[in-house]
Amino acid sequence: MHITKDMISHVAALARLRFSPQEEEKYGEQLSSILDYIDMLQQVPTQPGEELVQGVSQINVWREDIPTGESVRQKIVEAFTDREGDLLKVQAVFEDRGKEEIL
Amino acid sequence: MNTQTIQELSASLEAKEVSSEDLVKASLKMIEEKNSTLHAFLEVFDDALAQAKEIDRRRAQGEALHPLAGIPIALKDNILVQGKMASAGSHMLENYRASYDATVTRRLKESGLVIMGRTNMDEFAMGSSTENSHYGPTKNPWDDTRVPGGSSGGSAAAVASGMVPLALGSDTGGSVRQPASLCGVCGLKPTYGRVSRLGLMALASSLDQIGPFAHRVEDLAWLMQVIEGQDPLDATSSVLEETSVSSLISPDIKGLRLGVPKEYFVDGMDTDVTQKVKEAIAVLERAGAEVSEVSLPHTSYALAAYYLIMPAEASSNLGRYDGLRYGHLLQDGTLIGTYEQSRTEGFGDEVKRRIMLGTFALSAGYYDAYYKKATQVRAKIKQDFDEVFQRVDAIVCPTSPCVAWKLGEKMEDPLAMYLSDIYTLSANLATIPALSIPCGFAHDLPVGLQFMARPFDESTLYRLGMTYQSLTDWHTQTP
Repeated sequence: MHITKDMISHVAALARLRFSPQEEEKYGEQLSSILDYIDMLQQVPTQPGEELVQGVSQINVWREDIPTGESVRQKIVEAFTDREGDLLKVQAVFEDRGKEEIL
Repeated sequence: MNTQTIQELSASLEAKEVSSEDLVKASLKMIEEKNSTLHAFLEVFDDALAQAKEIDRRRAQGEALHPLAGIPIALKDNILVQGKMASAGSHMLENYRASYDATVTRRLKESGLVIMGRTNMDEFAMGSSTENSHYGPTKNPWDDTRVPGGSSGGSAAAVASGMVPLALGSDTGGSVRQPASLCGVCGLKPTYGRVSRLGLMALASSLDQIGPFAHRVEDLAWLMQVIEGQDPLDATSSVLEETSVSSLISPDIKGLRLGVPKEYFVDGMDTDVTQKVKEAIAVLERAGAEVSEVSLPHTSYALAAYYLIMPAEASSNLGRYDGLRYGHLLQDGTLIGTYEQSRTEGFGDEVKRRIMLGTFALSAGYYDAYYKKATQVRAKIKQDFDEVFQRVDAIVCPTSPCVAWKLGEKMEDPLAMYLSDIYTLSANLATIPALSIPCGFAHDLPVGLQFMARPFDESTLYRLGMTYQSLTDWHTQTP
């Protein structure tokens, strides 16, 4: 399957990645050649419903929700890249959108 | 340290003929001598000696310790040790310190093993040569112009070169077994669900398993006893019956039915590697195994299915690296811009390639034709194994189609690199256990022999491996 430059920029936007025009070309060629190889899967007769998507057969695995103290929570907070004390700083989610888009 | 089995080391520690401090100092000396060339360790933890002294102190006080207490071990850089750096070989996590212990780490600590440091790997475990590490490649201890395999190349090289007797890696498509093969050591990919994945940075969650490296199969079995078992914090981990290592002391494979898959001996394989594997099978046959040819008809589709499923799961798992929660942050004008800048700068080439491939396979219009189709083919591959395991007790085949290649040789051709995993990734797709052990040399480089067995039947792998190692001495040879 041939991956066009437009498809690369669409997928890059979905994946939150940026590429230069040269990189778009390189990734386009490499993905096209990998997908050409992968196309062999279409030769295998399969039935809908026989997908194998997980490694184990257990379902609904439950456990008690036991409080384990604050130490791990605090360390996770400390790993945050930008914060003031315990407040985690993130840029505004809606800031850059037009009024119509929000409505 | 490396000429002794883990059981012998354990006995020497117990008898106080040697201390944990002695073992750690010997390990540090080897790292000092060899790491500047091999680059197996990214970091040696500064508290390794203190850990050893603490074990020695407890032993001196007469405390009953675990048999493996005081023995040094290395961890792959994607396994969390609380308070220590864990970068997964990536620029993205260059300054990340783990917030908690992985379950395997907790179990190693509880058993008193000494965690020496973290080993090099392909970025986020994506690669087959350890050349995709942001921190530079690891070299093969047998020839430092060649790759050690990957993605757990640092752990394999650390054991092969004698820096540590034990190490852990992770195996998503062969990342323990393939470097074990290329470095001439033993490596195990346990059954999916045998070892908790909590605290292992996720690559592809339906395929990932943590696995051990050692010189001997018996040593792997000892280490597995420490790390395996159900974990309430990993819902995919399984409740296990206790496996007894002592029952393996005099293994016997008389009458064991061994299948040789005809699809694994095809054109394009290094003929010297094929020859070594066939000689190894003959050794097992002479030891009483009943060898027959079997067929796994969907083998030729495994690589294609794997290279959709793995990137699809990876693209989802790596969504968490947004620059905010941890890792590499590059502020841009908008939130989306910040995500894009942080990820574009933080991830390397191969990681971006797989995120792109996986995102494409999951995107609207392509999901059914690619991702869903691949999961249907995965079911066929598992059925192949289910059918074969009705007729035989284990499968024997090569681990890798070739020996260690030259650094840089496959870097520009992703598909050629992916093909080096062709014999290992089926076990991950089928969720079964698989073991690689050294079985000789081709072109003066180590060759690996692989065994696969039914889910949760690691003990058959141990029996086969230990029998082979009792009849041969490949595992005692060192670079």
